[in-house]
Amino acid sequence: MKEIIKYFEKREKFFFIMVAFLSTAQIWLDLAIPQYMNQITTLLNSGADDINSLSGAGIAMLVCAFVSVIVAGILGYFSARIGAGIACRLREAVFHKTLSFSLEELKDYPTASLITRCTNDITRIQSTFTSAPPILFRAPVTAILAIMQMGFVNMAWTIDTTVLVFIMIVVCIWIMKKMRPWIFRMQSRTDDLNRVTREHLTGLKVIHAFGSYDYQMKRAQKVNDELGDAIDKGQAYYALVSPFLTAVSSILSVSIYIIGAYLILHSDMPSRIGLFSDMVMFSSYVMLVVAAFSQIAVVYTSIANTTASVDRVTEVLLTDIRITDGKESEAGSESEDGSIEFRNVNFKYSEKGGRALKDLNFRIDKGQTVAIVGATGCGKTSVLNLIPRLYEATEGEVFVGGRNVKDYKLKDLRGMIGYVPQRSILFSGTIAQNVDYGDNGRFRATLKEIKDACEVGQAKEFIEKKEGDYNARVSRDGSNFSGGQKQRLSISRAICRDPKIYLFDDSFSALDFQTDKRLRAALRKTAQGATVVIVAQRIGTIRGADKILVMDQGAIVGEGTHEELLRSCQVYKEIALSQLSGEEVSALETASSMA
Amino acid sequence: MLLKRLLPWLKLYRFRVVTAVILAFLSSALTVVLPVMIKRIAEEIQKGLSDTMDISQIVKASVISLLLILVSFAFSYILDRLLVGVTVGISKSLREQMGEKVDRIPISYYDTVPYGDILSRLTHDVDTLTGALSGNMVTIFTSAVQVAGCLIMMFFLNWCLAICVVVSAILGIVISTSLSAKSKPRFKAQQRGIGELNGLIEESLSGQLVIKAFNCEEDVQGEFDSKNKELYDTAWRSQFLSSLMIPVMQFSGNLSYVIVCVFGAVLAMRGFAGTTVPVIISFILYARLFSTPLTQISHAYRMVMPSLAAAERIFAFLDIDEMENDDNKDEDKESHALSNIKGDVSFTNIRFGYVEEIPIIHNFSAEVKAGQKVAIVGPTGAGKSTMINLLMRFYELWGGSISIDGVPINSIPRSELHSKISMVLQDTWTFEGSIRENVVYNTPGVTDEKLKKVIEDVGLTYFVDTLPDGVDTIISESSSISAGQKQLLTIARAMLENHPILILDEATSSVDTRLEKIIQSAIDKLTSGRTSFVIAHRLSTIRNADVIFVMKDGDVVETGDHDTLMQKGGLYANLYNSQFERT
Repeated sequence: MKEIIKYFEKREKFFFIMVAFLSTAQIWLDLAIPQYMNQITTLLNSGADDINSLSGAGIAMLVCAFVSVIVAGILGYFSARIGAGIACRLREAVFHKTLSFSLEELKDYPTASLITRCTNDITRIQSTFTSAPPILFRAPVTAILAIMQMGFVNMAWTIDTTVLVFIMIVVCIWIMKKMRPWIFRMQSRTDDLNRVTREHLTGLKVIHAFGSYDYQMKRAQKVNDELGDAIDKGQAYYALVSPFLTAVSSILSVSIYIIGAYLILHSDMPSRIGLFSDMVMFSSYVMLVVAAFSQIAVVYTSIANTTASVDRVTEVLLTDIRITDGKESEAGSESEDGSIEFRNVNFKYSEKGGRALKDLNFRIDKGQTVAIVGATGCGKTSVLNLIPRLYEATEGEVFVGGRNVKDYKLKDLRGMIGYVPQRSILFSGTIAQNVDYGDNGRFRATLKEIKDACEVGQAKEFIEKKEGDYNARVSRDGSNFSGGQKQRLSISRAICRDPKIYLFDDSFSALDFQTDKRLRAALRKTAQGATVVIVAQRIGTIRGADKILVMDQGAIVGEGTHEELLRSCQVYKEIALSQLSGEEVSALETASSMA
Repeated sequence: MLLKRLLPWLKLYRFRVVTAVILAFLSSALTVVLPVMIKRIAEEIQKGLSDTMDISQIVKASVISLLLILVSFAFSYILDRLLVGVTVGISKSLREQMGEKVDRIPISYYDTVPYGDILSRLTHDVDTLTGALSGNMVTIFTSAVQVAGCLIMMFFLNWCLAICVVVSAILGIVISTSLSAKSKPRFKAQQRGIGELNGLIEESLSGQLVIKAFNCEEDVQGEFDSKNKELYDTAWRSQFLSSLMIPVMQFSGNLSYVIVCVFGAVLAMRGFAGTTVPVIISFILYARLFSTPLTQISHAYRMVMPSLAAAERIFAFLDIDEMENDDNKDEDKESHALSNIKGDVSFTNIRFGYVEEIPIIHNFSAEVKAGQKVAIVGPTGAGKSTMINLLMRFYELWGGSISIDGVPINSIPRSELHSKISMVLQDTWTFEGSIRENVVYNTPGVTDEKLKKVIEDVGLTYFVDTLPDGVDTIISESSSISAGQKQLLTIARAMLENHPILILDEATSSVDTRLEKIIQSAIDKLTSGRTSFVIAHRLSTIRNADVIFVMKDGDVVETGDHDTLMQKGGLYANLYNSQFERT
């Protein structure tokens, strides 16, 4: 909770004070009403027939009630502003925080869980912060004010009320404590359920093909049952709240009259009428106190749920970000060239896990085209990820433009790099927005530049067939484009930034050979002077590279040109052999030896 | 409307619901009788003002009151438990139904509806609906019974005062419902705003890699902040309007209190309708007993409002047209034609497109003989994966027919068709679970040896051995398993399934070529004697196919084996040669 309070601004704090002030005022008005009832009872018991003083009291009561509703209305306004305000600010804070997460932190949070934290959890906090403060404030203040008023009347009643209210509070807190673990469990099961459902939706074709409906159903059912169980157990405690509060309030009413009977029995005749009127007024106070507490029952579950949500949100807010800006100023970023160097780099994805990269040492000069090949899972993508500092090297140093990547401002470093990930990621919007994406620290592309980039990326042809060409809609995750088209758009996006370093992570896999070839030819022209790092499987894609790094199980096992490696590197030769027929390889070897 | 749709579920819990109704009646009746007891105590005390009071009467009334309170407490607790059970049960079966529904909807539906939207119906909307139900159903129910009970008791005690209480309550209800009607459109606006924002959040979080690499954090934050600001405005307005309902109901409670006091006093002075101070006292209690549940109902109603929108979305999903249920075709003789499947596949004059009026496949015909290894190649967007979608009957043809061993595939149940075909797709699909679960999946009778063998066949033995728990290691979103390794797992899965026809759609695109060669021999073993379809860009993968279909713009432009096509010097030769040319 403390963490959340930090996100209140002056305005919300002011609103809070107003809520406190107005609630007290409203309660004071509500408490005033029974005092007039006291007058009326006395009037009636004395047997007088005084309509005037009666209507006077009646009007006063009405005025109190009316002013009270106006005050409550204003109170509602402030409460709504508090709830919406805190939700707005928290949502912003959590979202900005998750955006600043590096991929390292993201690994600790499944995407689905982060989404629920940004959305459901915050909506929950909003609704609780809107409805709960006036109610929570109201109950104790009513109790205190009423008890104070009563205190002057008679101590016996006051003590009776205080004790019962105290029991009420203690039991409510006890129930809340008992509920908490179940609510936590419920929320983590909800995360699980989201995950399983997501898996079900993404694997739909596989599920149809395998006819594994029952299997899938069983998985979902298990989580569903656990969720139901957690809700059931939590609600078992909650179910106590309302009946308990009703019972205590009824006991309170009855006890007031029993005490009243005792007091009246032991007092002299003349003071009895006064005592009787006090008793009636008192029982009205008690009703108010009880009504205030019974409202707590209404917001009870939402408060209990919210404490769990708050914990989940603060967990995100308190996460340390491991990759942050270096100390260098932006000066110099223009002067850096596109060379890359790895010095004794070791990398692990998690502390306990094995090394994904082992003692990497290599240098790529400015303007070189370098390819990385190697077996599945040998660490090619990990190498690329270290260059824009998406991950941090566990040991050793990575240099870009002769400077340690840790010294750059992240923005400057990434502004130099055009990255094409393995899985094409597109965003809903237009084609132009997707191609001219982000900020390279220098310029925003013109339409012509966008078109040029798409031409190089071999996307021009299909874009211009689309209705609205560069303003054509891209659906979420580019679902209205084929795999090859998405890849070409994703490549065009990198080209459009005019980077000093291109990183292609197996980015040509969905392209047919001819498109692949045309693309690389066009890129060669456009990217003149830029450093290009290509991760690829196809020998055809990489054989023209200035240098090829061959990786095996996280280490570099060969470095050189295609021809050199064919002769010297067994792993590379095997890769090449697996793609070309024996004659072709030997033909290539002769060709290269002749050259 | 909503209730009507939920009724069938309520019927499932008939016994509990009926018990709950009875208990609600009893416990409310007890609560409602309590003021009568208090009235008796007050009457005795009032006697004491001028005379002597009868202590034994007071003690008797007190004891009865306490008993009433305790019994009522027990009843309402049991009642709450019962209703919680019912709502939990309903939400569980609602989820189950929606889960099953997912499998029965035609795949083409998922092309048109954003997948995040379906996800949020299955999770967020069900949460909202059942959350609102479980918290508020109890409240609304018991409160309603209490209100009814109070009404009866009040009219029984004093009809004049009863009318006063009812009138002021109706006043409160009228004002608050008109307020809620006003807040409804704003509420919808708020839900829409939340929806938009959630869409943005989900998209950004799943595209985080690119956002970071392209320095797009600030742009995204900017877009987010402006949407968030808009949401703030609609949120507080809708919250404010709907929050007014509560003070209005409180006011009506106060109003009835005042009227009971003043009007009751007037009646008592005039000695009308037997009004006495104890009657007024019990009426003050009634006025509270009457207005508190009304306030609670209005509060609960406010909570329920967003759930109405959720319910609409849930039932809209459940009402989507389903694929025809074709399991009854089982009885057809034809389906048994496939029990001894040979594996001849023929495509005759196929026409198809995903979007109406935009055909992708114009006129595709081809014959595949049993046991042939068929490769489908062609430029991106030529319709290769579409052929697979059609063979699996994920989509319905526009024209023409596909048949296996001469039996048209639309004349047999889908499940029957799918049980003949193993398929590996380009988009690998793994789920959070152990490697064993991911590979064995739903194939029955897989022994440890068999599993070990298949993992070896796909070249994952080394990888699995380095894992802390071997095949029982849990793989999840956050475990660092490469795209290629995932592809190998899905191939292993299909290998275990071992159906007579095999489809590999770009199944090895992320696997390195050396490994692919190893798997290839395993696949070759698997495909020998079986009909298999292979789609690949990497031409080395398809060189040894028996027949190669070269597709372009939805039609087959060349057919033949590798050598014939190379000699022909057409599109295939062109594609093939381009991988050796230097750029």
